Amino acid sequence: MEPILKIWYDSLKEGKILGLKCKRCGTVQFPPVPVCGECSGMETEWVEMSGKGTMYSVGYSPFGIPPFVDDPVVIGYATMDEGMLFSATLTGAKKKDMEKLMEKTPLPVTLGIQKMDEDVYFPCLKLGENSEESSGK
Amino acid sequence: MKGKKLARKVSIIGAAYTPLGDVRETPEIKDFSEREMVAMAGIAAMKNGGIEANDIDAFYVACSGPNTDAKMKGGGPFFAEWLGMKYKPTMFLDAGCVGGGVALNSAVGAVAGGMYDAVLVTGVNINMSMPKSYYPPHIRFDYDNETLWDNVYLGMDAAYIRPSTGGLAPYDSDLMVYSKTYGISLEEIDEAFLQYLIDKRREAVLNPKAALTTESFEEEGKRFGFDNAHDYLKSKKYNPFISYTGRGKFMGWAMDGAAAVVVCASDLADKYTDKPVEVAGISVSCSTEKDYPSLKHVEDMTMFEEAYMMADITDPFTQIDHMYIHDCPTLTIPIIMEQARYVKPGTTIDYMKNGDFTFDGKRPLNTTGGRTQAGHPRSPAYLMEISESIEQMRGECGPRQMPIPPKTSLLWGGGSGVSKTVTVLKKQW
Ligand SMILES: [Zn+2]
Repeated sequence: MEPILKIWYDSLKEGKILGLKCKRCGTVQFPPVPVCGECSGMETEWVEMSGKGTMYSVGYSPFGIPPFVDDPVVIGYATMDEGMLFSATLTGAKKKDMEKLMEKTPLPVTLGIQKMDEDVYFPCLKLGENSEESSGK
Repeated sequence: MKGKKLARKVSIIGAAYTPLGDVRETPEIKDFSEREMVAMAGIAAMKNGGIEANDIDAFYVACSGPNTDAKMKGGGPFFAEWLGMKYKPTMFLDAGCVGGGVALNSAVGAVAGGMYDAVLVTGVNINMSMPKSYYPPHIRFDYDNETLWDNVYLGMDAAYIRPSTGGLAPYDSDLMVYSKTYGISLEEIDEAFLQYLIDKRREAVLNPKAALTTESFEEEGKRFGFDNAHDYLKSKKYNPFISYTGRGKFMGWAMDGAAAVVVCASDLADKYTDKPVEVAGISVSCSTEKDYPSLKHVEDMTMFEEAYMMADITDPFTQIDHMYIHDCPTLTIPIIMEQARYVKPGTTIDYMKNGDFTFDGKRPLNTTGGRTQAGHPRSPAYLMEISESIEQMRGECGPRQMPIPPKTSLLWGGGSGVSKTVTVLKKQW
């Protein structure tokens, strides 16, 4: 067993978004966990995420994300191209845009990386298909 | 469980709950610690079931966030002697606000498997004040800020969920999809939820155990200068939005409480009561908040179908007479209720607007007044609603009594984590 959380969070700090791929059925666990949720396989390997997904809903936290973010945040809910559900801060989105965004769903999103504090970087979602635009901290 | 029938039939013979209130003020529970709360509920449940501690084999206690909120850990034995259960097996369990339900369904499994004949299941949380570490727990203090935030956020997985989401956002997401799928505007949904609050307040006022709920929203609104309950509940000042779709009063109203249920093998139940209620179906599951963003909560649908298979329910709409949904926040109701097939897809909002989810309405739901209006004691909540279901079946609910007592009740509970459980109860007389 590896220190999964440390490897994952350290990689985010270096700009890489990783998942754990099941060696038996190929399903990617993201965020990573050591047993495959699909086939129960227990052998996995690190892979880089494609970063692409489809958002189909939004939520809102007026209190931000204590203790990391003080300002209100919009949260995106997406299915990643690798198949799993993922939710995270939808960067750049404002509360006033939420219903318009919802009307337009399903919408393409990409994963980015957001600095939450000195030790914690976390994937965020960005609108659009181009992962180049949405990478970076 | 996979919907298999239990190896031995199991019934609930007795159930009870304490008044919900504030141990620093409410007369019936004044100066109580967690010990007296569990004892009050446990003794009442044993008396209700006609059974005494000598005939009970094991004792479970559910408590949400015990380390922070009750300043105890591994607390089962602290309560055992208080209820005559010294030397008996105890289990102390935290499954957030559905702890009582998870404990209940575990006890049912233990009785069905033949390990025990009777189990006392309890839940307790004192939410309006806290004890101090090392001090006798009847000495209460105000919650400090850190504990309050811990209360809210320690139930979110800090490994992956907590660093990126906040508060009610997953429920917003669900309702956004619901609104879009059925073409029902968020304004219309909001209006319906306000009507639901008004209806639940009416029931809570009729529920003597809801000790802090004494006036209708109409009366409460008048005190703050509003002509009617809807205007009051729509005001930014008194009922602000705390997410995109959720308002302050859509959350449970934290109160102190305890509840208890006596589970017994059905073949022995006649020894104690002539009104046993069979636990016809159970299912327990879990998920994480990232599983929320669609109308299909796999874990909930699976639980309902497993419990229905066990209970021989093929058409919930006609076969279930009464339902409980853990309505903290109320935003959960449309999706859970429709997944349970207690109403048809896309119809929840209409029922809500028409005031149909009442003890005297078309689809009785949360007839205690529910978490928002009767009060939210956290881990005992599910057990208190089990008690309500049994009282409704026995025709003992006084002014809140359903005109035709239900034969079959369905309960759904969720607690932070996220733990979830479903129970189907059937009247046996
Ligand atoms: Zn696999």
